[in-house]
Amino acid sequence: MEPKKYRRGTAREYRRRIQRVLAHIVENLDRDLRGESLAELACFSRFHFHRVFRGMLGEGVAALVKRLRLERAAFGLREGKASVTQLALEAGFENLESFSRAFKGAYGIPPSVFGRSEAPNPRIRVSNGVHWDMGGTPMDFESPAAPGEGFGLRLVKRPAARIAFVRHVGPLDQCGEAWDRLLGVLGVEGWLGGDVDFFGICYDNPDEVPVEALRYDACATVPAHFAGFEGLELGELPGGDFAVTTHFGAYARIGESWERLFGAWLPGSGYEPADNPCFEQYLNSPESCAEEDLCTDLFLPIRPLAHMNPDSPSSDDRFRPETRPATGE
Amino acid sequence: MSKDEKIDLFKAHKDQYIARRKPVFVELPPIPYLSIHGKGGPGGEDFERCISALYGMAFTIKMRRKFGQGQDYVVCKLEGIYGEKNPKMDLISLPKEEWDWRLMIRVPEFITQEERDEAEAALLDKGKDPAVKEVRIEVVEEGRCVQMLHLGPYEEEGRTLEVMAGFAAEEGLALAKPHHEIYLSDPRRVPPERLKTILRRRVEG
Repeated sequence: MEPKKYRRGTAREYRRRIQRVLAHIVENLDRDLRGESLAELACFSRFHFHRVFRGMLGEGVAALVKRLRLERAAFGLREGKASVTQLALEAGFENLESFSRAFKGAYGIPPSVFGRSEAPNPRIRVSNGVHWDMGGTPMDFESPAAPGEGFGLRLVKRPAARIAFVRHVGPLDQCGEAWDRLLGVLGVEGWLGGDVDFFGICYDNPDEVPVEALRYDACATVPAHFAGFEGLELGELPGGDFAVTTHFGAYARIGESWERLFGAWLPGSGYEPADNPCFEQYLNSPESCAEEDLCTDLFLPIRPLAHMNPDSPSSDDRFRPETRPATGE
Repeated sequence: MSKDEKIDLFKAHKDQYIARRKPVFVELPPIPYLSIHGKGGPGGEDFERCISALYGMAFTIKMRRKFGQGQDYVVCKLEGIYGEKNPKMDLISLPKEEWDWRLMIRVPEFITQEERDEAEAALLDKGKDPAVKEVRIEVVEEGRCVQMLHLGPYEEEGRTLEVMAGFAAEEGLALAKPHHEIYLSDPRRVPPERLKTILRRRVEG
């Protein structure tokens, strides 16, 4: 399968969906949005909404909400209409200290000084251009350009795979123990022939789930006659259509490749994420090669993009309603 | 060295794995490898099957030692020696189908034949490819060699070999066969122009 050409129409659809979320965030800036189903609002699969958002805006939901609240407080300080304490509470901070710390981190000066400075700029520099504004926050935003020629992307259809896995809960850079447990059992028992593939599945979004609660499965493919083993779980890696790109280099920078896949490639692709999690395939091991030589395939499950508003398709959209009913509203 | 320390032969023997864009002389002692011999084009079905069997054995032996004796070591890089059975073989002119090769992964000297046999039995018991039976522990002694990092597609190794030959000639030496390669990158994903390979040749003269 050849990836489709960049489509402005589908990119517009992505923008519309994200703009809905931005509007909702701004209208409800005083509320705790963590429990809200922003994914549903944007009509994106819950597994992927936050990655689409981060990819297109270069900023996670939580970070954007916090920044807009700080900007609103900064406008308030400039106007001099409310006390610092009052603005801190409005900005969702529990006390003045944590507000002052966050404020100083963003503006370089404490809130008490900000209000007295000459012509302070309440806007914090970001690439997406979304800011709090007294006259209503504009919902348009800057997002990354379509990836250039050098961006390797393959469309792949792969069957479901039987896997044995060990679940790790906690910071992702500490998943080594799960791998040790998995490979310890499989390797000792003779299940690690050279035909085994290794995958990592990350279920949670680090923007909304506390780092100590992040779930990650260290997985290895096993044959049908593998009956299980104490300490290992058995499962299935979902099959289907995937957009695949290869990340070269350190695992610590894998997020950047995910961001490019979601933010630069996906919106203009004619596809949207399907309703199962992304996964990574580790083609070599940090143990036996230099960090810069690590190769990891990133698998994003996809399906043809459905439009929220089927009555006004853009001229270059080739939406096929027979593939999936539109989620009209 | 304590048992808790993880042995990394590649790092421990930096002097043997010098990978520079300029040729250097290296002195190689006898080194044990897990090896498998075969014939045919690299990347072909037999070649891939042998790589698979070799890695299966390498990982199984490693894991059994790590979780058995509690001694851990890093699985070394894949290496290949070409043209041992056909010393006249010229990698450039001979069709790839005619190439003979030995694929190898270096192992620590403490790995025993018994450990190798147990790993084979475990893999066969789980229904893995019987090619694992052909993976043996073999010692290779190369002595004085010239080696150099080759950057780019395998097909262009000729230009790097020329530089190596020129370097050896300055000392009144010539490159001998067979041809030895140490693979630093993964050809499945790394684009050919970015592939890194150490080329090694014994010298004589």
